[in-house]
Amino acid sequence: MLRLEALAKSFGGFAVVKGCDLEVREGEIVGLIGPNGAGKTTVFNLITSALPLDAGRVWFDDRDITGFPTHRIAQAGLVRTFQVPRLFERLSVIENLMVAGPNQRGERFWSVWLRPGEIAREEKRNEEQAWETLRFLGMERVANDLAATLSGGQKKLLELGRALMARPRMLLLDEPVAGVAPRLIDEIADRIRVLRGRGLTFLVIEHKMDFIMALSDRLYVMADGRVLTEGRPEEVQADQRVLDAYLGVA
Amino acid sequence: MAPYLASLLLFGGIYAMLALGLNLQWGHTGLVNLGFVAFFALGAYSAALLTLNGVPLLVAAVIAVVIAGLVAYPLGRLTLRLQDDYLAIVTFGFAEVVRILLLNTRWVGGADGLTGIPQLFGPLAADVRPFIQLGAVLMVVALVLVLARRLTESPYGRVLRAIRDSAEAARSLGKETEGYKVVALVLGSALAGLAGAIYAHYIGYVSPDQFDPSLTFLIFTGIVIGGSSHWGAAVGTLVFIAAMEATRFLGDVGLPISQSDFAQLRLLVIGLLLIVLMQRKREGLWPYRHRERVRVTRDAAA
Repeated sequence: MLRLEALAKSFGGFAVVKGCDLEVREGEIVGLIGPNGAGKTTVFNLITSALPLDAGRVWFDDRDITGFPTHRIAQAGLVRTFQVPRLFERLSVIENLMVAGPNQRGERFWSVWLRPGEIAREEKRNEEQAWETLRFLGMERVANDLAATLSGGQKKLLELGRALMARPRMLLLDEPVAGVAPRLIDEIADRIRVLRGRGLTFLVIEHKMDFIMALSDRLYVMADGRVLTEGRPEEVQADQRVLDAYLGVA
Repeated sequence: MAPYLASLLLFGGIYAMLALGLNLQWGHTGLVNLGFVAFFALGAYSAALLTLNGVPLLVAAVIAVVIAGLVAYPLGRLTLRLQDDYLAIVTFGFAEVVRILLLNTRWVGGADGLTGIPQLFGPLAADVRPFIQLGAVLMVVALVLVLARRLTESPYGRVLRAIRDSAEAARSLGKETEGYKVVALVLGSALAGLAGAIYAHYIGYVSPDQFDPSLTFLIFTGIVIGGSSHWGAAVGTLVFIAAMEATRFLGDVGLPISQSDFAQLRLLVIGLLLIVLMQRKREGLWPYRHRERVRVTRDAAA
Protein backbone atom coordinates (compact mmCIF):
# COMPACT_ATOMS: atom_id res chain seq x y z
CA MET A 1 0.00 0.00 0.00
CA LEU A 2 2.87 2.35 0.87
CA ARG A 3 6.24 1.86 -0.77
CA LEU A 4 9.34 3.97 -0.24
CA GLU A 5 12.20 3.72 -2.69
CA ALA A 6 15.63 5.03 -1.72
CA LEU A 7 14.41 8.12 0.14
CA ALA A 8 17.25 10.50 0.89
CA LYS A 9 17.55 13.79 2.68
CA SER A 10 20.43 15.85 3.95
CA PHE A 11 20.49 19.08 5.88
CA GLY A 12 23.35 21.31 4.78
CA GLY A 13 25.58 18.44 3.73
CA PHE A 14 24.68 16.24 6.68
CA ALA A 15 22.86 13.15 5.45
CA VAL A 16 20.00 12.33 7.80
CA VAL A 17 18.27 9.77 5.62
CA LYS A 18 20.59 7.86 3.29
CA GLY A 19 18.38 5.69 1.18
CA CYS A 20 15.37 4.29 2.97
CA ASP A 21 13.41 1.45 1.33
CA LEU A 22 10.29 0.28 3.04
CA GLU A 23 6.98 -1.33 2.18
CA VAL A 24 3.72 -1.58 4.08
CA ARG A 25 0.96 -3.86 2.77
CA GLU A 26 -2.73 -3.18 3.10
CA GLY A 27 -4.09 -4.06 6.54
CA GLU A 28 -0.67 -4.38 8.17
CA ILE A 29 0.62 -2.75 11.32
CA VAL A 30 4.29 -2.07 10.69
CA GLY A 31 6.64 -0.69 13.32
CA LEU A 32 9.50 1.67 12.59
CA ILE A 33 12.09 1.67 15.36
CA GLY A 34 15.66 2.72 15.84
CA PRO A 35 17.83 4.80 18.13
CA ASN A 36 17.35 8.55 18.41
CA GLY A 37 18.59 10.39 15.35
CA ALA A 38 18.13 7.39 13.08
CA GLY A 39 15.94 9.49 10.79
CA LYS A 40 12.51 7.97 11.52
CA THR A 41 10.57 11.20 11.91
CA THR A 42 12.40 12.65 8.92
CA VAL A 43 11.08 9.73 6.88
CA PHE A 44 7.53 10.69 7.92
CA ASN A 45 8.26 14.29 6.98
CA LEU A 46 9.51 13.15 3.57
CA ILE A 47 6.50 10.91 2.93
CA THR A 48 4.07 13.76 3.67
CA SER A 49 6.13 16.48 1.96
CA ALA A 50 6.51 18.36 5.23
CA LEU A 51 10.13 18.46 3.99
CA PRO A 52 11.21 18.33 0.35
CA LEU A 53 13.17 15.16 -0.39
CA ASP A 54 16.52 15.07 -2.14
CA ALA A 55 16.02 11.73 -3.87
CA GLY A 56 13.77 8.70 -3.92
CA ARG A 57 10.13 7.96 -4.65
CA VAL A 58 7.01 7.52 -2.55
CA TRP A 59 4.25 5.23 -3.79
CA PHE A 60 0.83 5.10 -2.17
CA ASP A 61 -1.77 2.75 -3.63
CA ASP A 62 0.44 2.25 -6.69
CA ARG A 63 0.35 5.97 -7.28
CA ASP A 64 3.52 8.01 -7.32
CA ILE A 65 2.85 10.73 -4.73
CA THR A 66 6.45 11.94 -4.51
CA GLY A 67 6.50 15.66 -3.82
CA PHE A 68 2.70 16.04 -3.73
CA PRO A 69 1.69 18.99 -1.55
CA THR A 70 1.00 17.91 2.03
CA HIS A 71 -2.74 18.48 1.86
CA ARG A 72 -3.09 16.42 -1.31
CA ILE A 73 -1.37 13.48 0.36
CA ALA A 74 -3.81 13.67 3.26
CA GLN A 75 -6.70 13.90 0.82
CA ALA A 76 -5.41 10.76 -0.88
CA GLY A 77 -5.95 8.94 2.42
CA LEU A 78 -2.50 8.98 4.00
CA VAL A 79 -2.66 10.90 7.29
CA ARG A 80 0.01 11.42 9.92
CA THR A 81 0.20 12.38 13.59
CA PHE A 82 3.05 14.22 15.29
CA GLN A 83 5.58 13.23 17.91
CA VAL A 84 4.62 16.28 19.97
CA PRO A 85 0.87 16.61 19.35
CA ARG A 86 -0.02 19.60 17.18
CA LEU A 87 -3.56 20.16 18.25
CA PHE A 88 -5.65 23.21 17.52
CA GLU A 89 -5.11 24.32 21.10
CA ARG A 90 -7.64 27.14 21.21
CA LEU A 91 -10.38 25.05 19.64
CA SER A 92 -12.58 22.79 21.74
CA VAL A 93 -11.94 19.06 21.61
CA ILE A 94 -14.96 18.37 19.43
CA GLU A 95 -14.10 21.24 17.08
CA ASN A 96 -10.64 19.72 16.69
CA LEU A 97 -12.38 16.63 15.38
CA MET A 98 -14.97 18.42 13.27
CA VAL A 99 -12.40 20.51 11.46
CA ALA A 100 -10.74 17.32 10.25
CA GLY A 101 -13.77 16.01 8.36
CA PRO A 102 -12.70 15.62 4.74
CA ASN A 103 -14.04 17.52 1.78
CA GLN A 104 -16.54 19.72 3.63
CA ARG A 105 -18.70 21.97 1.50
CA GLY A 106 -18.83 24.51 4.33
CA GLU A 107 -15.10 24.99 3.98
CA ARG A 108 -15.51 26.48 0.52
CA PHE A 109 -15.86 30.22 0.55
CA TRP A 110 -18.81 30.64 -1.79
CA SER A 111 -20.75 27.74 -0.35
CA VAL A 112 -20.83 29.54 3.00
CA TRP A 113 -23.01 32.21 1.41
CA LEU A 114 -24.85 30.23 -1.24
CA ARG A 115 -25.67 26.88 0.33
CA PRO A 116 -26.44 27.38 4.03
CA GLY A 117 -29.03 24.59 4.21
CA GLU A 118 -26.75 22.00 2.75
CA ILE A 119 -23.94 23.08 5.07
CA ALA A 120 -26.17 22.82 8.13
CA ARG A 121 -27.07 19.23 7.21
CA GLU A 122 -23.45 18.40 6.54
CA GLU A 123 -22.44 19.89 9.91
CA LYS A 124 -24.98 17.71 11.66
CA ARG A 125 -23.52 14.57 10.11
CA ASN A 126 -20.04 15.82 10.85
CA GLU A 127 -20.89 16.46 14.50
CA GLU A 128 -22.47 13.02 14.81
CA GLN A 129 -19.27 11.51 13.41
CA ALA A 130 -17.23 13.54 15.91
CA TRP A 131 -19.32 12.27 18.84
CA GLU A 132 -18.87 8.74 17.54
CA THR A 133 -15.11 9.26 17.49
CA LEU A 134 -15.15 10.75 20.99
CA ARG A 135 -16.99 7.69 22.24
CA PHE A 136 -14.47 5.44 20.53
CA LEU A 137 -11.72 7.31 22.37
CA GLY A 138 -13.66 7.52 25.65
CA MET A 139 -13.43 11.32 25.61
CA GLU A 140 -17.08 12.37 25.46
CA ARG A 141 -16.86 14.14 28.79
CA VAL A 142 -14.23 16.63 27.63
CA ALA A 143 -15.90 17.39 24.29
CA ASN A 144 -16.30 21.09 25.00
CA ASP A 145 -12.98 21.66 26.78
CA LEU A 146 -10.25 23.56 25.01
CA ALA A 147 -7.67 21.17 23.57
CA ALA A 148 -4.95 23.09 25.42
CA THR A 149 -6.34 21.90 28.75
CA LEU A 150 -5.95 18.16 28.03
CA SER A 151 -3.34 15.90 29.64
CA GLY A 152 -0.47 14.59 27.54
CA GLY A 153 -2.12 11.23 27.03
CA GLN A 154 -5.45 12.75 26.10
CA LYS A 155 -3.71 14.96 23.58
CA LYS A 156 -2.22 11.89 21.93
CA LEU A 157 -5.64 10.26 21.84
CA LEU A 158 -7.27 13.36 20.41
CA GLU A 159 -4.66 13.60 17.71
CA LEU A 160 -5.35 10.00 16.78
CA GLY A 161 -9.07 10.76 16.71
CA ARG A 162 -8.53 13.85 14.61
CA ALA A 163 -6.53 11.83 12.09
CA LEU A 164 -9.38 9.28 12.00
CA MET A 165 -11.92 12.01 11.29
CA ALA A 166 -10.04 12.72 8.07
CA ARG A 167 -11.14 9.21 6.94
CA PRO A 168 -7.68 7.92 6.14
CA ARG A 169 -6.89 4.55 4.58
CA MET A 170 -3.50 4.53 6.20
CA LEU A 171 -2.10 6.24 9.30
CA LEU A 172 1.46 7.28 10.05
CA LEU A 173 1.74 7.47 13.85
CA ASP A 174 4.79 9.19 15.32
CA GLU A 175 5.30 7.86 18.86
CA PRO A 176 1.64 7.40 19.74
CA VAL A 177 2.37 6.43 23.36
CA ALA A 178 5.37 8.62 24.23
CA GLY A 179 4.65 10.26 27.57
CA VAL A 180 1.34 8.47 27.95
CA ALA A 181 0.22 6.94 31.25
CA PRO A 182 0.53 3.09 31.31
CA ARG A 183 -3.21 2.52 31.55
CA LEU A 184 -3.79 4.67 28.49
CA ILE A 185 -1.04 2.86 26.56
CA ASP A 186 -3.01 -0.39 26.55
CA GLU A 187 -6.05 1.62 25.56
CA ILE A 188 -4.26 3.10 22.56
CA ALA A 189 -2.86 -0.29 21.47
CA ASP A 190 -6.35 -1.71 21.71
CA ARG A 191 -7.83 1.14 19.61
CA ILE A 192 -5.20 0.65 16.94
CA ARG A 193 -6.02 -3.08 16.71
CA VAL A 194 -9.73 -2.33 16.42
CA LEU A 195 -9.02 0.13 13.62
CA ARG A 196 -6.87 -2.39 11.79
CA GLY A 197 -9.80 -4.77 12.05
CA ARG A 198 -11.83 -2.14 10.21
CA GLY A 199 -9.32 -2.15 7.35
CA LEU A 200 -6.87 0.60 8.28
CA THR A 201 -3.16 0.24 7.63
CA PHE A 202 -0.51 1.55 10.03
CA LEU A 203 3.11 2.60 10.06
CA VAL A 204 4.11 3.36 13.65
CA ILE A 205 7.25 4.98 15.05
CA GLU A 206 7.72 4.09 18.71
CA HIS A 207 10.44 3.76 21.30
CA LYS A 208 8.37 1.87 23.82
CA MET A 209 9.58 -1.63 22.97
CA ASP A 210 6.99 -3.86 24.65
CA PHE A 211 4.24 -1.77 23.05
CA ILE A 212 5.60 -1.82 19.52
CA MET A 213 6.69 -5.47 19.65
CA ALA A 214 3.25 -6.59 20.78
CA LEU A 215 1.47 -4.42 18.25
CA SER A 216 3.43 -4.84 15.02
CA ASP A 217 3.11 -7.56 12.40
CA ARG A 218 6.51 -6.57 11.08
CA LEU A 219 9.17 -4.04 12.02
CA TYR A 220 11.75 -2.00 10.23
CA VAL A 221 14.81 -1.00 12.20
CA MET A 222 16.55 2.21 11.19
CA ALA A 223 19.97 3.34 12.27
CA ASP A 224 22.03 6.21 11.01
CA GLY A 225 19.70 7.07 8.14
CA ARG A 226 19.39 3.57 6.73
CA VAL A 227 17.13 0.57 7.14
CA LEU A 228 19.23 -1.88 9.13
CA THR A 229 16.90 -4.81 9.02
CA GLU A 230 13.28 -5.86 8.65
CA GLY A 231 11.31 -8.75 10.07
CA ARG A 232 8.76 -10.07 12.50
CA PRO A 233 9.14 -8.85 16.09
CA GLU A 234 10.85 -12.01 17.36
CA GLU A 235 13.29 -11.96 14.44
CA VAL A 236 14.19 -8.35 15.01
CA GLN A 237 14.63 -8.85 18.73
CA ALA A 238 17.03 -11.71 18.10
CA ASP A 239 19.11 -9.71 15.62
CA GLN A 240 22.53 -8.85 16.99
CA ARG A 241 22.87 -5.82 14.67
CA VAL A 242 19.78 -4.25 16.20
CA LEU A 243 21.18 -4.60 19.67
CA ASP A 244 24.46 -3.12 18.49
CA ALA A 245 22.67 -0.15 16.92
CA TYR A 246 20.84 0.60 20.14
CA LEU A 247 23.92 0.16 22.25
CA GLY A 248 25.93 2.36 19.92
CA VAL A 249 28.39 -0.27 18.75
CA ALA A 250 29.62 0.71 15.31
CA MET B 1 -23.35 68.74 21.52
CA ALA B 2 -25.43 66.24 19.55
CA PRO B 3 -23.48 66.66 16.28
CA TYR B 4 -20.27 66.29 18.25
CA LEU B 5 -21.53 63.04 19.75
CA ALA B 6 -22.65 61.83 16.34
CA SER B 7 -19.19 62.53 14.99
CA LEU B 8 -17.56 60.62 17.84
CA LEU B 9 -19.81 57.64 17.23
CA LEU B 10 -19.09 57.77 13.53
CA PHE B 11 -15.36 57.64 14.13
CA GLY B 12 -16.12 54.77 16.50
CA GLY B 13 -17.81 52.97 13.63
CA ILE B 14 -14.77 53.44 11.40
CA TYR B 15 -12.41 52.11 14.06
CA ALA B 16 -14.77 49.21 14.74
CA MET B 17 -14.63 48.29 11.08
CA LEU B 18 -10.83 48.42 11.12
CA ALA B 19 -10.85 46.19 14.19
CA LEU B 20 -13.14 43.67 12.49
CA GLY B 21 -10.81 43.53 9.50
CA LEU B 22 -7.65 43.00 11.52
CA ASN B 23 -9.43 40.55 13.80
CA LEU B 24 -10.33 38.41 10.81
CA GLN B 25 -6.66 38.35 9.81
CA TRP B 26 -5.00 38.11 13.18
CA GLY B 27 -7.58 37.02 15.74
CA HIS B 28 -9.03 34.24 13.61
CA THR B 29 -6.34 33.29 11.10
CA GLY B 30 -3.20 34.29 13.00
CA LEU B 31 -1.84 36.52 10.24
CA VAL B 32 0.36 39.29 11.58
CA ASN B 33 -0.29 42.18 9.20
CA LEU B 34 1.88 44.98 10.55
CA GLY B 35 0.99 47.17 7.60
CA PHE B 36 -2.74 47.21 8.19
CA VAL B 37 -2.89 51.01 8.18
CA ALA B 38 -1.64 51.06 4.57
CA PHE B 39 -4.85 49.39 3.38
CA PHE B 40 -6.86 51.98 5.31
CA ALA B 41 -4.82 54.68 3.52
CA LEU B 42 -5.24 53.01 0.12
CA GLY B 43 -9.00 52.92 0.59
CA ALA B 44 -9.12 56.56 1.66
CA TYR B 45 -6.86 57.85 -1.11
CA SER B 46 -8.53 55.74 -3.81
CA ALA B 47 -11.98 56.98 -2.85
CA ALA B 48 -10.73 60.56 -2.62
CA LEU B 49 -8.96 60.56 -5.98
CA LEU B 50 -11.84 58.89 -7.76
CA THR B 51 -14.53 61.25 -6.47
CA LEU B 52 -12.33 64.30 -7.03
CA ASN B 53 -12.15 63.16 -10.65
CA GLY B 54 -15.88 62.92 -11.04
CA VAL B 55 -16.60 59.30 -10.16
CA PRO B 56 -19.84 58.96 -8.16
CA LEU B 57 -19.21 58.49 -4.46
CA LEU B 58 -20.75 55.03 -4.11
CA VAL B 59 -18.91 53.67 -7.14
CA ALA B 60 -15.68 55.18 -5.84
CA ALA B 61 -16.16 53.51 -2.46
CA VAL B 62 -16.69 50.12 -4.08
CA ILE B 63 -13.58 50.55 -6.23
CA ALA B 64 -11.60 51.64 -3.16
CA VAL B 65 -12.57 48.44 -1.37
CA VAL B 66 -11.60 46.34 -4.37
CA ILE B 67 -8.25 48.12 -4.71
CA ALA B 68 -7.36 47.58 -1.04
CA GLY B 69 -8.26 43.90 -1.37
CA LEU B 70 -6.44 43.42 -4.66
CA VAL B 71 -3.23 44.96 -3.37
CA ALA B 72 -3.26 42.51 -0.46
CA TYR B 73 -3.47 39.55 -2.84
CA PRO B 74 0.09 39.54 -4.25
CA LEU B 75 1.53 40.32 -0.80
CA GLY B 76 -0.21 37.24 0.52
CA ARG B 77 0.74 35.02 -2.41
CA LEU B 78 4.37 36.04 -2.07
CA THR B 79 4.76 35.61 1.66
CA LEU B 80 2.17 33.20 3.01
CA ARG B 81 3.93 30.07 1.83
CA LEU B 82 6.94 31.13 3.86
CA GLN B 83 7.16 31.25 7.63
CA ASP B 84 4.69 33.46 9.45
CA ASP B 85 7.27 36.15 10.20
CA TYR B 86 7.67 37.04 6.55
CA LEU B 87 4.17 38.40 6.27
CA ALA B 88 4.85 40.66 9.24
CA ILE B 89 8.10 41.95 7.74
CA VAL B 90 6.76 42.44 4.23
CA THR B 91 3.53 44.16 5.30
CA PHE B 92 5.42 46.46 7.65
CA GLY B 93 7.76 47.43 4.84
CA PHE B 94 4.85 47.78 2.45
CA ALA B 95 3.10 50.24 4.76
CA GLU B 96 6.23 52.39 4.92
CA VAL B 97 6.52 52.34 1.13
CA VAL B 98 2.91 53.44 0.79
CA ARG B 99 3.33 56.20 3.35
CA ILE B 100 6.50 57.57 1.76
CA LEU B 101 5.01 57.35 -1.73
CA LEU B 102 1.97 59.31 -0.60
CA LEU B 103 4.20 61.85 1.04
CA ASN B 104 6.28 62.39 -2.08
CA THR B 105 3.89 62.03 -4.99
CA ARG B 106 2.57 65.30 -6.30
CA TRP B 107 -0.64 64.09 -7.92
CA VAL B 108 -1.86 62.67 -4.61
CA GLY B 109 -1.08 65.94 -2.87
CA GLY B 110 2.23 65.08 -1.20
CA ALA B 111 2.47 66.17 2.41
CA ASP B 112 -0.56 68.44 2.02
CA GLY B 113 -2.79 65.57 0.98
CA LEU B 114 -6.07 66.01 -0.83
CA THR B 115 -8.84 68.38 0.19
CA GLY B 116 -12.38 69.07 -0.91
CA ILE B 117 -13.39 65.42 -1.02
CA PRO B 118 -17.18 65.23 -1.45
CA GLN B 119 -19.07 64.55 1.77
CA LEU B 120 -21.28 61.56 2.36
CA PHE B 121 -24.83 62.82 1.76
CA GLY B 122 -23.33 66.18 0.82
CA PRO B 123 -26.54 67.54 -0.70
CA LEU B 124 -28.40 67.22 2.61
CA ALA B 125 -28.79 70.20 4.93
CA ALA B 126 -25.92 70.60 7.37
CA ASP B 127 -28.08 70.21 10.49
CA VAL B 128 -29.44 66.74 9.64
CA ARG B 129 -26.46 65.48 7.69
CA PRO B 130 -24.33 64.21 10.63
CA PHE B 131 -27.16 62.02 11.87
CA ILE B 132 -27.94 60.54 8.47
CA GLN B 133 -24.23 59.90 7.98
CA LEU B 134 -24.01 58.23 11.35
CA GLY B 135 -27.04 56.07 10.66
CA ALA B 136 -25.64 54.95 7.33
CA VAL B 137 -22.20 54.17 8.73
CA LEU B 138 -23.59 52.24 11.68
CA MET B 139 -25.73 50.23 9.30
CA VAL B 140 -22.69 49.36 7.22
CA VAL B 141 -20.81 48.36 10.38
CA ALA B 142 -23.74 46.18 11.48
CA LEU B 143 -23.83 44.54 8.06
CA VAL B 144 -20.09 43.86 8.18
CA LEU B 145 -20.49 42.41 11.66
CA VAL B 146 -23.25 40.06 10.50
CA LEU B 147 -21.27 38.93 7.47
CA ALA B 148 -18.08 38.44 9.48
CA ARG B 149 -19.98 36.33 11.99
CA ARG B 150 -21.54 34.26 9.26
CA LEU B 151 -18.10 33.52 7.88
CA THR B 152 -16.34 32.78 11.15
CA GLU B 153 -19.17 30.65 12.53
CA SER B 154 -19.15 28.46 9.43
CA PRO B 155 -16.86 25.47 8.87
CA TYR B 156 -14.79 27.93 6.86
CA GLY B 157 -14.08 30.00 9.97
CA ARG B 158 -13.21 26.85 11.87
CA VAL B 159 -10.50 26.10 9.32
CA LEU B 160 -9.17 29.64 9.72
CA ARG B 161 -8.81 29.17 13.49
CA ALA B 162 -7.25 25.74 12.96
CA ILE B 163 -4.67 27.35 10.69
CA ARG B 164 -4.03 30.00 13.34
CA ASP B 165 -3.30 27.30 15.92
CA SER B 166 -1.23 25.03 13.67
CA ALA B 167 -0.98 25.47 9.93
CA GLU B 168 1.13 22.34 9.71
CA ALA B 169 -1.50 20.19 11.39
CA ALA B 170 -4.20 21.71 9.17
CA ARG B 171 -2.18 20.83 6.07
CA SER B 172 -1.64 17.31 7.37
CA LEU B 173 -5.42 16.92 7.57
CA GLY B 174 -5.88 17.88 3.94
CA LYS B 175 -6.57 21.63 4.20
CA GLU B 176 -5.07 23.85 1.53
CA THR B 177 -3.92 26.42 4.08
CA GLU B 178 -2.37 28.97 1.74
CA GLY B 179 -5.62 29.69 -0.05
CA TYR B 180 -7.46 30.26 3.23
CA LYS B 181 -4.77 32.63 4.46
CA VAL B 182 -4.85 34.66 1.27
CA VAL B 183 -8.62 34.99 1.45
CA ALA B 184 -8.44 36.16 5.08
CA LEU B 185 -5.74 38.67 4.19
CA VAL B 186 -7.69 40.02 1.21
CA LEU B 187 -11.00 40.25 3.08
CA GLY B 188 -9.48 41.98 6.10
CA SER B 189 -7.62 44.43 3.89
CA ALA B 190 -10.76 45.13 1.87
CA LEU B 191 -12.51 45.99 5.13
CA ALA B 192 -9.71 48.42 5.95
CA GLY B 193 -10.25 49.90 2.49
CA LEU B 194 -13.95 50.32 3.20
CA ALA B 195 -13.16 52.04 6.49
CA GLY B 196 -10.76 54.29 4.59
CA ALA B 197 -13.34 55.26 1.97
CA ILE B 198 -15.87 56.16 4.66
CA TYR B 199 -13.22 58.11 6.54
CA ALA B 200 -12.23 60.14 3.47
CA HIS B 201 -15.81 60.98 2.61
CA TYR B 202 -16.56 61.94 6.16
CA ILE B 203 -13.77 64.29 7.09
CA GLY B 204 -13.29 65.54 3.55
CA TYR B 205 -9.51 65.57 3.34
CA VAL B 206 -6.72 63.01 3.47
CA SER B 207 -3.03 63.47 4.19
CA PRO B 208 -0.18 61.04 4.95
CA ASP B 209 0.02 61.94 8.64
CA GLN B 210 -3.48 60.59 9.22
CA PHE B 211 -2.18 57.13 8.42
CA ASP B 212 0.61 56.85 10.92
CA PRO B 213 2.01 53.31 11.46
CA SER B 214 1.05 53.58 15.12
CA LEU B 215 -2.61 53.18 14.15
CA THR B 216 -1.92 49.55 13.24
CA PHE B 217 -0.57 48.93 16.71
CA LEU B 218 -3.45 50.73 18.38
CA ILE B 219 -5.81 48.27 16.72
CA PHE B 220 -3.65 45.27 17.61
CA THR B 221 -3.70 46.44 21.22
CA GLY B 222 -7.45 46.96 21.04
CA ILE B 223 -7.94 43.36 19.91
CA VAL B 224 -5.62 42.09 22.63
CA ILE B 225 -7.72 43.96 25.19
CA GLY B 226 -11.09 43.03 23.74
CA GLY B 227 -10.44 39.47 22.64
CA SER B 228 -11.00 37.85 19.27
CA SER B 229 -14.79 37.70 19.29
CA HIS B 230 -16.05 40.29 16.82
CA TRP B 231 -17.65 42.34 19.55
CA GLY B 232 -14.58 42.01 21.72
CA ALA B 233 -12.26 43.21 18.97
CA ALA B 234 -14.49 46.16 18.07
CA VAL B 235 -15.30 47.23 21.62
CA GLY B 236 -11.75 46.68 22.83
CA THR B 237 -10.41 48.91 20.06
CA LEU B 238 -13.00 51.60 20.75
CA VAL B 239 -12.35 51.56 24.48
CA PHE B 240 -8.62 51.71 23.97
CA ILE B 241 -8.68 54.54 21.45
CA ALA B 242 -11.21 56.44 23.56
CA ALA B 243 -8.94 56.03 26.58
CA MET B 244 -5.97 57.30 24.59
CA GLU B 245 -7.96 60.32 23.45
CA ALA B 246 -9.53 61.02 26.83
CA THR B 247 -6.29 60.90 28.78
CA ARG B 248 -4.90 63.42 26.32
CA PHE B 249 -7.08 66.04 28.03
CA LEU B 250 -6.13 65.02 31.55
CA GLY B 251 -2.96 67.06 31.10
CA ASP B 252 -5.11 70.18 30.78
CA VAL B 253 -6.90 69.83 34.09
CA GLY B 254 -4.03 71.13 36.15
CA LEU B 255 -1.84 68.13 36.89
CA PRO B 256 1.53 69.42 38.07
CA ILE B 257 3.51 67.83 35.20
CA SER B 258 4.46 69.03 31.78
CA GLN B 259 2.56 68.03 28.66
CA SER B 260 5.37 65.85 27.31
CA ASP B 261 5.98 64.11 30.62
CA PHE B 262 2.33 63.35 30.69
CA ALA B 263 2.34 61.81 27.21
CA GLN B 264 5.04 59.39 28.31
CA LEU B 265 3.41 58.69 31.63
CA ARG B 266 0.24 57.81 29.79
CA LEU B 267 2.02 55.09 27.79
CA LEU B 268 3.55 53.79 30.99
CA VAL B 269 0.15 53.52 32.64
CA ILE B 270 -1.35 51.82 29.61
CA GLY B 271 1.53 49.36 29.55
CA LEU B 272 0.96 48.51 33.20
CA LEU B 273 -2.76 48.06 32.68
CA LEU B 274 -2.07 45.75 29.74
CA ILE B 275 0.24 43.60 31.87
CA VAL B 276 -2.38 43.28 34.57
CA LEU B 277 -5.03 42.44 32.00
CA MET B 278 -2.86 39.79 30.37
CA GLN B 279 -2.23 38.17 33.72
CA ARG B 280 -5.89 38.09 34.65
CA LYS B 281 -7.53 37.52 31.28
CA ARG B 282 -5.11 36.28 28.70
CA GLU B 283 -7.72 35.87 26.00
CA GLY B 284 -8.97 39.44 26.41
CA LEU B 285 -12.15 40.77 27.97
CA TRP B 286 -14.53 39.18 25.47
CA PRO B 287 -12.74 36.12 24.12
CA TYR B 288 -14.05 34.05 21.27
CA ARG B 289 -16.39 31.39 22.60
CA HIS B 290 -16.94 28.06 20.94
CA ARG B 291 -20.43 26.79 20.60
CA GLU B 292 -21.17 24.30 23.36
CA ARG B 293 -22.13 21.08 21.65
CA VAL B 294 -24.44 18.64 23.34
CA ARG B 295 -25.00 15.20 21.97
CA VAL B 296 -28.56 14.59 20.88
CA THR B 297 -29.07 10.87 20.33
CA ARG B 298 -31.00 7.87 21.47
CA ASP B 299 -28.79 7.39 24.54
CA ALA B 300 -29.61 10.94 25.59
CA ALA B 301 -33.28 10.00 25.52
CA ALA B 302 -32.75 6.76 27.39
